[in-house]
Amino acid sequence: MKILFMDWKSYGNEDIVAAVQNLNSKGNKIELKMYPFDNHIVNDDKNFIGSFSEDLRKEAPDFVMSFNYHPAVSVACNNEGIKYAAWVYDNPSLRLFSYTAINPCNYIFLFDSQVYELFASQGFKTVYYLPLAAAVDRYDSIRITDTDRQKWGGKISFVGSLYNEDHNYYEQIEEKLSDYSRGYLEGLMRSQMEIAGMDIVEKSIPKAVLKEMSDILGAKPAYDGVETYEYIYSNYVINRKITSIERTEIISMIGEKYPVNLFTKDREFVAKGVTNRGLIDYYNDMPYVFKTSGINLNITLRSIQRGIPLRAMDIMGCGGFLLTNYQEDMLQFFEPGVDYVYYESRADLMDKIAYFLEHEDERRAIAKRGHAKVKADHTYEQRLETIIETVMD
Amino acid sequence: MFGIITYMNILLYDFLNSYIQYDLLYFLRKMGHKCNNIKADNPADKYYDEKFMREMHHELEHNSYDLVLTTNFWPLVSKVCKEKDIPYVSWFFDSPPNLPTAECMEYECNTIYFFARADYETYKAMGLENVQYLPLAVNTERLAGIKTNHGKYDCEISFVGKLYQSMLPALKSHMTDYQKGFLDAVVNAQMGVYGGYIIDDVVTEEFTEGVRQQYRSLSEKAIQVSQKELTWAVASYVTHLERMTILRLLGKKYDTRLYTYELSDAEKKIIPDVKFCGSVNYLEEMPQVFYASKINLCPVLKANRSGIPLRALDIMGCGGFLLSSYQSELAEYFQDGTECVMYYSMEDAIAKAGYYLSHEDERAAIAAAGLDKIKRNFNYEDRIKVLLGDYQ
Repeated sequence: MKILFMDWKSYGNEDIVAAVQNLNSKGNKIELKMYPFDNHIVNDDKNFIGSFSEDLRKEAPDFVMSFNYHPAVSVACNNEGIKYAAWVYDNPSLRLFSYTAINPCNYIFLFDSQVYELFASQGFKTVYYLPLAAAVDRYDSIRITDTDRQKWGGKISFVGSLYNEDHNYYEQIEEKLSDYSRGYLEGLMRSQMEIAGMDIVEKSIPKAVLKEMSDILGAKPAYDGVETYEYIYSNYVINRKITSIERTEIISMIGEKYPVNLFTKDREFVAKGVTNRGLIDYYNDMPYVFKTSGINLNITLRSIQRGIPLRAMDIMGCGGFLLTNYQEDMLQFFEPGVDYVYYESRADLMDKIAYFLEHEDERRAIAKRGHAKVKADHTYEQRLETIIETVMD
Repeated sequence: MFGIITYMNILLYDFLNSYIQYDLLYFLRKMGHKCNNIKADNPADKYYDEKFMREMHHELEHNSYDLVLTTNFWPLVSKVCKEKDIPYVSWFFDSPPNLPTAECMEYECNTIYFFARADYETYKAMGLENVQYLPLAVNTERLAGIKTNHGKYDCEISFVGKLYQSMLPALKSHMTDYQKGFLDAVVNAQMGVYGGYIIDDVVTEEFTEGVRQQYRSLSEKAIQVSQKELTWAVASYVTHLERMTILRLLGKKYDTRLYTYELSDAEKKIIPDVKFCGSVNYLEEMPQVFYASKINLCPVLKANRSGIPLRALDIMGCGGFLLSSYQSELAEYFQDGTECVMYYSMEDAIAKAGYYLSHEDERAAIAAAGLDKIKRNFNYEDRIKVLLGDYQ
């Protein structure tokens, strides 16, 4: 079996390579050929499509695989009659709305059941639901020393972006919005923040407000895609801003009472009780945080409406105790209160932090069970097997 | 061995806005209690009315009662009960309670029953210990005895209820653009959510103060709205919109009737296909509407966060088919799709209305099962045993 793997700077590349090695050591014969790929090319890049088609003819893989979905790859695969497996871990994902999504060569694996349902319910036969995974073997092989504990550990940790970079989309728009629209968006965001498990943003932006936003920002649907203005602005602008507010407010709220280690790109974020440790490496450093922290927080990006984010999988895969906002897909595979814990409100979050900081044994037991579940059912090897089985069937 | 039941002397006040007074009295008397039901005008001030309180004092002075009972809680009644040291039992059938403050509720003479669990929990969280939760009830006996005028009331879909003219449009007219936008967003957000109530948490005291400041900047004599008043304006507006929308959409497709006190010309223009039939009285006409309509709508007031409204129980208690917006307590006691039907969005309501209009057998089975549940679990005898339980 030969898989041509689109190698761009994505999460999980090394883990896929390791998974193939693992599967091969168990008797499989999978050749994973890495193909360097610039994921920033435009969807209809003729040069790429031309040269990639040629390479496909030369390499003749059983199928092509990539993290996330790349329309230009699909066009070439479709022309050459070669199957294309795309494992999507991004949400939002504009490229999914490309007209190429219905290409019969496609096997698009979506980690968020809401996105899967959106496409499947409209008749798309090229989509599948496939949650993400954690590199449990790699994580298990990491030995934690006292020095590690000193360096990375703490009572509560949060690894993630605060989405408040300079000139972020919302900021760009906000300064030029009319008072009415600014009030509208703030009312909408505050309303969404009261609700877990359902997105109200996308269906609640009036045409006039939407037009104002798009006149300012200029982002618009691609000529060859079916994404809507509502989708673009609710996900790339509003939901991102909501997450930014939620993460900063929640981390600050916790910091008032408990010490928090924050691992994030935004060096300038300051709050009482919060130690900002800056950006860390996903592959080399992050596992140490999860393995040495008492409580690992997950506050999901709002555009991920139901999916289990990679962060949550990684925390549990590292044997860390996961305390997360409510995400519906988790209930399909994990038992709340048994394998992980979720909070229903900010007040509930504070109660649970207090409880689990005090009840260490219970916390460790939950983390252990979470880890066991991820090890048993959510590894890269298993996902790869599922992808191969689905594609080659 | 038989239990000894104390027959009680009960003083009731009927402030002429209570739907359930008649049935409550009927069963109290049926169960052997001696009741004096005094009709009183709705007081201008629920917390103090000199004339009423004097007369109530006099009544308690010259007659012997074991307790005082009202539907909804009336602070002015509670004050007199406190003075006379007589137990005061009250049973809310409104949600949320139509009282700006919880003043007087803490008096020891009170036992206050909320039919909506969310209200019970709110008031309990304020520190009140004399509050309880008790869903409403239906007098299915009386309803079964009513002869329905099918010629007059038969139709496909009906809605009996208020349309809730809200103060919000008027309040908004003097607000800043930002404030208008903010509230429009809250309205749209709440319109899209069933089973979750966000208005009180998003329209904060801080926001309301901003509105008050805006008003003050326009005129020293401007009204100063409270947070409760503002959130009520928003909640009633959302309900108004939801009811108008569902009527408009259903009216276009099906024979839809609206039974309500008044409908303005502007409103008539929004729902031109709906037959406006004026009001019906609670005791004799409304049950006929419920029985004769194939589908009875119950778009619940948004501010009623969890409770099963009386309307929903009455519909089922009449053997009518209930199509209600999702309410957590309705889902708790009744099986969706078996004993009643709930909708989770406007589109869902339209789709379900269409489905059940063309599936008569299913509809009849659901109505029958709903009635059965009402008879078993929502009767006055059970409720009265709870209301009087502490005193028997």
